[in-house]
Amino acid sequence: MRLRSFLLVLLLILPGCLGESSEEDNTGDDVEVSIEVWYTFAAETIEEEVFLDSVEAFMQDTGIDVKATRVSYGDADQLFMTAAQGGEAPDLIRISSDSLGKFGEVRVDGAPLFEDLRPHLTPAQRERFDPISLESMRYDDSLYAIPASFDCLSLIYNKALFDGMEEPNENWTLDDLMTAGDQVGLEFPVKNAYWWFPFFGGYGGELFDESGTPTLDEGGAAASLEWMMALELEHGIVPEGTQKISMENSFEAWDTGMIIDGPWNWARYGKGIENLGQTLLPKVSENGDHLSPLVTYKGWAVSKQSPQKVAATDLALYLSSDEVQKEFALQTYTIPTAQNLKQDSDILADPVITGFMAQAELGTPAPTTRGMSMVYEALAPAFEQVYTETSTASDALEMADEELERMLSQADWADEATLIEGYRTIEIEFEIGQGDHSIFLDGQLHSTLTEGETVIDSYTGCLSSYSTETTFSCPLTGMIPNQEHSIVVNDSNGTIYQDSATSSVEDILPEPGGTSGVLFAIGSIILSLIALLSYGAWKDKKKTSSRGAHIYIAPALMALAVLTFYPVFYGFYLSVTDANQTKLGDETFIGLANFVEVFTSEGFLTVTIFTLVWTLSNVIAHIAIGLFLAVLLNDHRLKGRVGYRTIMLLPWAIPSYISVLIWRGIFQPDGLLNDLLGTDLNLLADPTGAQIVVILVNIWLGVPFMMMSLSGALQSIPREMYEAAEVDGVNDWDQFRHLTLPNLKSALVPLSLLGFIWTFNMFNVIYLMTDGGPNLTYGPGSTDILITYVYDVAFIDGQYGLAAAWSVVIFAMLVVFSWRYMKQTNATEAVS
Amino acid sequence: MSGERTMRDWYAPLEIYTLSAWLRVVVVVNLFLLIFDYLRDDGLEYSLVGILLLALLVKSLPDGSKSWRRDTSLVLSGAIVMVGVLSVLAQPIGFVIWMESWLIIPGLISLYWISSPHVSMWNRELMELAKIENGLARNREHSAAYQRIGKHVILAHFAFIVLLPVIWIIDISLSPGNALGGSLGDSFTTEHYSKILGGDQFWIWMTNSLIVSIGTTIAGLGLAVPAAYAFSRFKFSGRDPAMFSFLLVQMFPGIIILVPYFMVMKTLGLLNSHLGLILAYSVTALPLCVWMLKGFFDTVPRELEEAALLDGCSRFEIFTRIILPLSLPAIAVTALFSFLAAWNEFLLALTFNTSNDMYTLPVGLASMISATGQSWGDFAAASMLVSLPVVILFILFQKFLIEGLSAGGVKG
Repeated sequence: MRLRSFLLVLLLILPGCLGESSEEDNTGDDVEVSIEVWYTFAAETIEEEVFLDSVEAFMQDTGIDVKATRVSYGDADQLFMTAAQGGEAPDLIRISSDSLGKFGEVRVDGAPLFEDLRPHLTPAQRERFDPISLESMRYDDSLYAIPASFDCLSLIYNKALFDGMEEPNENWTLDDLMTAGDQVGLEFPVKNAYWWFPFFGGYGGELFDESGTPTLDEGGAAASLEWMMALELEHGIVPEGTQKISMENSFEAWDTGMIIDGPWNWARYGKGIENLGQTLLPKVSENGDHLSPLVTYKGWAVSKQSPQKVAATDLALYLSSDEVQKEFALQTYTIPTAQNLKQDSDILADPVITGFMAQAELGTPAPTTRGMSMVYEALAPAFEQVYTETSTASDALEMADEELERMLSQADWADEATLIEGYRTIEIEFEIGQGDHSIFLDGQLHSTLTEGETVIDSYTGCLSSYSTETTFSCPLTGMIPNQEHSIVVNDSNGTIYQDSATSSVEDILPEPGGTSGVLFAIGSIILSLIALLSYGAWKDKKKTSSRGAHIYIAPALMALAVLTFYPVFYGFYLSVTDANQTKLGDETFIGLANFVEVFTSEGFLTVTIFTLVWTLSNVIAHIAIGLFLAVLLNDHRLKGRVGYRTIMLLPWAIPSYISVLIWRGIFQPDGLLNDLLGTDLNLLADPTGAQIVVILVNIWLGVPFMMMSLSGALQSIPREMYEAAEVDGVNDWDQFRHLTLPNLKSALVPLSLLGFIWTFNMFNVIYLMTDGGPNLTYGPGSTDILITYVYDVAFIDGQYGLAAAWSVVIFAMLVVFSWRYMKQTNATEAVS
Repeated sequence: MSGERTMRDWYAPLEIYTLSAWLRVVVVVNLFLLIFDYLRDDGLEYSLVGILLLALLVKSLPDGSKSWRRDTSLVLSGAIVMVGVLSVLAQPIGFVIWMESWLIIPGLISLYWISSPHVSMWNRELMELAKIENGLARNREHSAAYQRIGKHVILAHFAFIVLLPVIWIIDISLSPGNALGGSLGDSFTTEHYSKILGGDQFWIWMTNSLIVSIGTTIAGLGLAVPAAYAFSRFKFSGRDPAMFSFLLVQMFPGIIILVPYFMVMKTLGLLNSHLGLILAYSVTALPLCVWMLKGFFDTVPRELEEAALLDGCSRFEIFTRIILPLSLPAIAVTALFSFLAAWNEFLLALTFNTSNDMYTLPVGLASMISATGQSWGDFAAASMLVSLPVVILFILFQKFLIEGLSAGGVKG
């Protein structure tokens, strides 16, 4: 009876849930415009303060309500993709030009992630920015963001340490750098490709040729890499194992006189170093060219899903306006992209900003191509091989070049994004008059046409030659839909054209994937579960011993089903589709092709073997050490056992992401381990060393749980049994073997099974310690286990279908193992 | 006479027993320490000589008859101490002191014990029967104490390994600047703590974390307790598949299904809410909770319930009046688990709650890390602040923890 009423209630609630969501769709009349912006400035920093002040000022000026959301830097890109797939993307987000190559091919429900801003900006607005910076925010033809700042590497030094010696200057060659480095110290991470690009550029190399084909092994590539690596490996000028963090630390601590770093840490260094210097990266001695760092731009991008693109673009323009850029530059050393600021007296008075601007002049803007987003992945194993001297520079770079070409040829490409015709544009046509022409939009300068110049506006696709044609006809950009605009064209004699026009073409938002499918799935899962439970209850009707049992388990099962069954089923479904980044939400069925790829991939065997080594060594060590400690602490007469136990519990009590990061710090070259032992080990850079270290750290983390569980089990063994054994003169070891172990077996079986499943799918430790590295080859890294590798396949390569297939394989392995294990242990229990 | 002879053969002072057992352990430890010598590339020869001498000492411990054994042992012990001291002197001060104390201290102890009058007398076979009897009594009396000292030595080492990162992070959190290196305890500042505690955001995150964690604890128990009770007490249709399904969902890698999970949350309107996270975490913790509670319920005697049934109690009354009070330790442990699962979780919190005033502590702290790198000082201080409540909870719950786990584990 009770069951039936329960079901009735559920059925009543369900349609209520179903009906509710349909109301959300109407996005309201624009009485109050409200937009959400995601920013990645760290909490409680000057950057954040300047940003929030600017947003506040924008709200005051425009009356637009802005919700600013801070997103942690490392997670922002991924989070944005997830939100976009759920139709929850913010209106505006800060992106970096070097991730454009990754974002450019992403399609969610057939639409790109970002709005193409070409029709939104007037030519006059575009001209406010350095053309290179604007170009660096484009992918294919689309303009995906408005540039607000840029940065690049340069030579930074501590003047105080150059006591009497010549300080670095723009005439230095690499030989000078080496000589000085020998005396005052020079640090930078030689294994990091970002630091290699300046050398590569200085030796005359380019990452890609004009057609976009990678040229990683051409034009002095090997020579530059050899020279750079030799600084550490051969000459010992750069300390062994220097990484980004250790470089920053030792410069801050006056341990080294020169580093190669960007402007981002200037304020931090300035706190402890009074006379901080910056100069251009040196010249290559052979050809006299300066090193040429990669210049990356940061800008504001409008989401394709934003219903408020006009307001969002306004905010983006405001955040990259001269005033805001200047404020950012002066307060936080971000280098401005605004043309006007190049002549601004306050900016020119700041030697750091001008210094970095001069450095960027010699730099190479980061290409915003697909290839660029894959360069790091292709280069990492090559650098690792050169560093460990398993390969020569030219062989390794050739390998990287081939790999990058292979990656590009195998990558999926999305259909090119198209513009909505007529959105934010109005077409005008007039007879060309005399001299220069200026077009005014609502009293503001929109664009100028200079006499004799061909106007080719690649941004709007509008082409007109002033010198040869007599009429000018072009769609003018920057119009606001459904708003009347006055358009005035002046030539040198006065107004020649005047009109007031309105564009009624509105934005078309991408069709969202829709939640009705999910709702339907959840609904059917709930209904079938209810059916199953009712069937079970009906079947057990006569058994008084189990009456009501189904009601007891219903809530738990229901919660489990609603929240996790659908995602898991969805994972299974993805594994037989070709889902990837270029067609999120548009995948098609491809059968078992993904599974074939999993089993035939080169890395499958190595990663599976290391996963087994990782899991078994962890579980065995957890149980062995846990049991050992539990037995030691089981002695009631031992003084201080509560204290010991409390200490032993710490690894369990401290959140694991914290303790893993601490351990990573300990194993850094400048970490505690070397400090303590007096060594200069870099275990995490060595494949075997890194494998041992990650296993040791996970052992450290997992022992307390086993210790406590086994302590509990030990306490439930009757003490009389030990007393009896004692009387019989059984020694400790035999007591343990013949009394303790057999009694613990019933606890050990489920514990070891749980431990196995947990360790097998333990993501945090390896991801945070090594991220699967070091990568000496392509495919899984030395410390990758299945789950961390799946993560890379899904979120670095964007191969969702393939990653789902890997997940299903993991799932199958675990199910088979658990089932066998349970059968095995049950069988032996039945025998004994 | 022959009885006395046997007794003499049979008896050995406790010191000798202890030495012969513990010196073996010391040899193993020293073999293990060779790894460090290898890593340091220093002092390998001393350690090898030390190990050799130790092995010889184990073989030549006095056996109660031959005096050459005693003399050799004494010489060897002395040599071991010498090697240890020389090794310390030859290398830069620091970690090496601990390493070599594994030679020096055992050497000194053997030197002291073997030369002690009791052992000397025993070795020269000068002991009277009464003395031997006395010695036996003495052995019994002290053996437990010696064993316990050994246990303390072992436990102290484990405690050291556990505490090492903790002490280090405390030191970083109290050192000025945001660098990683620096030796322990050189300077002191509370700037990192005041920076974090001074920001009003920290308390918002803390409140969110508390709401979510406590909510998860309550919801998790509300779901797990009835289910575990049913699994423990009823033999109903579909029991085994249902139980296995709890385990199954743990086997599918969670990261890959983040997007569909997000869609579920969006569909249910639970994004940017405490409730969404509470539900997600309760479900994550459910399998372990159900498993542990079921194990504990299994140990509560059925007879109690049957008696209550006869007295006219309903199932529900039995559940609330008998089972629940008896299972308090297990419920406390389960509560702690649910709390922890919610307190430490990062990925789901990051994905589901993007609004800043809904951030939980882990997500909030991650947003304090800037694009340009880790501020180790702030990070360390924040870590301490996040860990502290959990550590306190653990200490308070310690007693329950063992009791609750004991039955849960045994009958799994």
